Amino acid sequence: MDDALLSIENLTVTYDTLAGPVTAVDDLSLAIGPGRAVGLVGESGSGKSTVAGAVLDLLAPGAAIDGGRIRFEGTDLASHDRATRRALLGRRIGSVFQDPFTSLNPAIQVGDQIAEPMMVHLGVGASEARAMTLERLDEMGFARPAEIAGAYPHQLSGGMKQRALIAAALACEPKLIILDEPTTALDVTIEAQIIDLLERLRTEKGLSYLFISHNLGVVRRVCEEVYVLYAGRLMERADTDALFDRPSHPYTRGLLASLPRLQPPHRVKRLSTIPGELPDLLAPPPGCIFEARCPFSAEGCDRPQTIRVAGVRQMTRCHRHAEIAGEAWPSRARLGHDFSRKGFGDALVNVVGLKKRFRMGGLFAGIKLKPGLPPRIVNAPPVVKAVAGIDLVIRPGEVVGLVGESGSGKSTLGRLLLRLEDPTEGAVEYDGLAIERLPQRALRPFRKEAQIVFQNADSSLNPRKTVGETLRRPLALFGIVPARERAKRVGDLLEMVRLPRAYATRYPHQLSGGEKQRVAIARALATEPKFIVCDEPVSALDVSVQAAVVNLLADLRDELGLSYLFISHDLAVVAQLSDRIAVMYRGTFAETGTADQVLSPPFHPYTLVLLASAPRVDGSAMPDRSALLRDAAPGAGAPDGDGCPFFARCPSRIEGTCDELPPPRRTPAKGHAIACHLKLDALPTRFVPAAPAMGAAPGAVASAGPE
Amino acid sequence: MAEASVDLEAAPIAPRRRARRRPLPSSLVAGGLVFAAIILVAIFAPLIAPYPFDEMHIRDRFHAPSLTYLAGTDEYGRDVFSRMIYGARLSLFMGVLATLVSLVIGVPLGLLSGYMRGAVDEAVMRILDIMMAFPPIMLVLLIITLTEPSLWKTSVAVGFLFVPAIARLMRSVCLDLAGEEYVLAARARGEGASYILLREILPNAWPPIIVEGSLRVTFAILLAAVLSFLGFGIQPPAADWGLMIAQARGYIERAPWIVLAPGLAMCVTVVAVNLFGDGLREYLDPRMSARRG
Repeated sequence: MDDALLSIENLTVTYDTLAGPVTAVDDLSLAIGPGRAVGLVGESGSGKSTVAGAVLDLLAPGAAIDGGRIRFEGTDLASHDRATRRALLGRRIGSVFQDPFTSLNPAIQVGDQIAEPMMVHLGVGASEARAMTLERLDEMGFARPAEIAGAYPHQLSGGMKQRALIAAALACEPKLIILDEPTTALDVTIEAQIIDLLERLRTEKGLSYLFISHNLGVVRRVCEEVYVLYAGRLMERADTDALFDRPSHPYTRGLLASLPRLQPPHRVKRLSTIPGELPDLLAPPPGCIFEARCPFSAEGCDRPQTIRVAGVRQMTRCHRHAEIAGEAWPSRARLGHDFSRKGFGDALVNVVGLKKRFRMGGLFAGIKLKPGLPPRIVNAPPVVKAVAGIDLVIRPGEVVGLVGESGSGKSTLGRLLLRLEDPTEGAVEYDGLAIERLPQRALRPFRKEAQIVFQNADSSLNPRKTVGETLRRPLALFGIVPARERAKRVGDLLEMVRLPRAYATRYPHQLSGGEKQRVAIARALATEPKFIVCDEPVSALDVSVQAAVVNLLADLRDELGLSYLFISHDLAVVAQLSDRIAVMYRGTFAETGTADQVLSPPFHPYTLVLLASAPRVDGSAMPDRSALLRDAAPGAGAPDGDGCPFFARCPSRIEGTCDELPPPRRTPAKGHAIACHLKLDALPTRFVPAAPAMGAAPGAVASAGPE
Repeated sequence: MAEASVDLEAAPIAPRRRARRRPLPSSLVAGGLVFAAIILVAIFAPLIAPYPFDEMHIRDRFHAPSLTYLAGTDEYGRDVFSRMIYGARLSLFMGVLATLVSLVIGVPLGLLSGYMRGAVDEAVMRILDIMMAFPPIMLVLLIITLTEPSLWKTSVAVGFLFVPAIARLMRSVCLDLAGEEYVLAARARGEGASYILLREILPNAWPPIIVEGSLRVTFAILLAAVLSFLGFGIQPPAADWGLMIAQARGYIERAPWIVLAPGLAMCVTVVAVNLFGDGLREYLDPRMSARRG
């Protein structure tokens, strides 16, 4: 493809690690035509960011391009000396990285950070650069570009920072932009705005994108063609619709199958998974790199695989792609015996009027001198209302999903329920016992019954303790089993979370992310609890691993009759597991109800935005989100008084009412509550989820439309 | 759709990630070897030194370095080489003792401060601020002049001086670790503060503390030398590097070796311990072993 803007030919990148060389990218060829949006998809360890590093000359120390060529506009980048190459890259290729929170220098005004590359690469003067900066910011959809240019990064929200960074990437009018997980650190509503912006910019400016992401839904929205990477090898390449509708490589099919769909939960059905984990790249298998995890593996898979044509502009690295096209990706129903439930019993956890305020700053932060005669000293420390009046009931065996964006107070609520934080106001009852004021010592029986699983698999296990030590401690602390039986119980616990008993002697760094999360679950189970707060337990995991952990939690709930408070920012994951869902916004519940009720109309305006913003892989058209959300940062300009916390962003707000009075509780059906001033018949109902579109996805059942 | 077996989701036994033995950083090896050699010299000083440290050779005053007197002699005709070797004892003793004192006081203070937060934290930190506000030499001089100078008191005084730095380091490490999820998990099962501090936080806080401690040893040696130089530390005729330099400063033009030898010894020790500390930091930093790729 000679007309390609960027073409990567047989690229091989090797990392020189202490344990030996690791091939992070193996023989990858990729071409981006002018004006094309090309996606590069893979899970962690797939080498996708290494590709970006190789193109941008930003490889980590120890990494080297071992073979292949990278040509930009027909010229081999390696033919330039380093300085020329850097200048060329800076001028002609823009880049946007994952974390907008660290990508801007906090000590320099945003405008100067955008103007700087113009002055370096285009040689324009300061005033001209400033004018161009304002122009760029204007293109990003900022209402007042001059204000943004004069602001320091801490004054901007995450979404605004990312838009400013895109403006900086466009500073020198490049033709190609490399976007490395540009929306991963953002909330879903902000992510949707950034995606819209990227789409608009591409059409207006004829840009090409190399869009690197693990998020298949986002890739489907943004890209026209997709390359799927696994363990540094290209597995499949296809036009977007073909890839999502007719995936040919087993890995692609597995990825799509393991995605949770926005649909009410199924007590029996489980997510599909890709068993196993990445191969050891120090000693990669000689044959197909995916064989060990492939449900379709057969004779011949132990030989090296070549790229084959699988369809129109579709290539795949699987010799069986045609044979297996008709076979469904294996899925399964519930394991183990049936913990059947005839409705839930009385409340296990009962929360009434719960509030938590955090004071900001140090001990003396609130002390100010009030002018007057004589001046008075007042102490009014700034406070944050993390939880602002929550009522919640969780019954035995029930899973309550808690959805909200960052800063909504969902983690604080989870910690309040476990008395890891002391509430400012309100009551928390566990099994009839009021725990909100009990001294820690008296909480001991409660501590045994209520446990927690955290998000970050890396930080949730003590790196200095073996898995066995970690699991033995709760057993000893609560005297669950006599000392001589503890080793056996540790093994039992490991088996309960589907890990081999031998893992007891391993240290956390010898485990993969999914394995660590299983150990964290086993630790919570060790005290034989009845209630577990799951605080974003799968958010840090890859899609294929996430599905397995969600299934495990579902199995354990059924086997042991557990109740969960399942916290997540991902509505699809929550929907997968929850009997009831609570949508949280700035410390209050916007909507609560059964999973069916929350996922189908009528909606709270905020629930509707969440549903509409979630990127979907089924190719259904996205609803027009611009009508669903006012352009305000999350939480910006919320009323100080009793008004609705969603007021600033709500498109259907009633001025004079919503900003002054607390929203009343509307109950469209028994058990369904929506906190909104809109009358029941005025609540939005217009969201119609798309029909299932994919062959490979078992039963993507859309939630009921309004009809 | 076939119902797959249980094994579909059970993680297959992944090969145990090889406990990849990381090569020791060269600075750790080099610094460690030299430091160990100095410690051995200090311990076996009477066996190594050619002469007792206080034996005077009146006829050989200001003798230049030779085969008889490897580093020459001083104004009393004492063998500078022997005094240098004996000096290692005092210097190392003071360095190590002072560091131990600062660790024993500073580590618990920092742990409490970082874990309890709030009023305890404020109280401890403000007291340490006051300590840090005093010029260090003045503070030590105050302690020493109020009583008779002695090796022990000097070391303890120097150790006290280091408490704020150690406590602040420990506090910041503890603040970080207290937010780790395994600490929250321990609180969620009702562990007491002592278990959390000693069993969950402290084991993970050691690396920076060990490193800081090793660097403190060199500060203490230098500070002890300064005190001796000023006449408040070790008293003559004891052999201490700082004292040796102090006493020989009048003869620096006539017999430079009297100053050079202890100066060189101090230099080598400080560089070795610093190298050792640096290497240790590198070796203990888990990020250095992070898997790449």
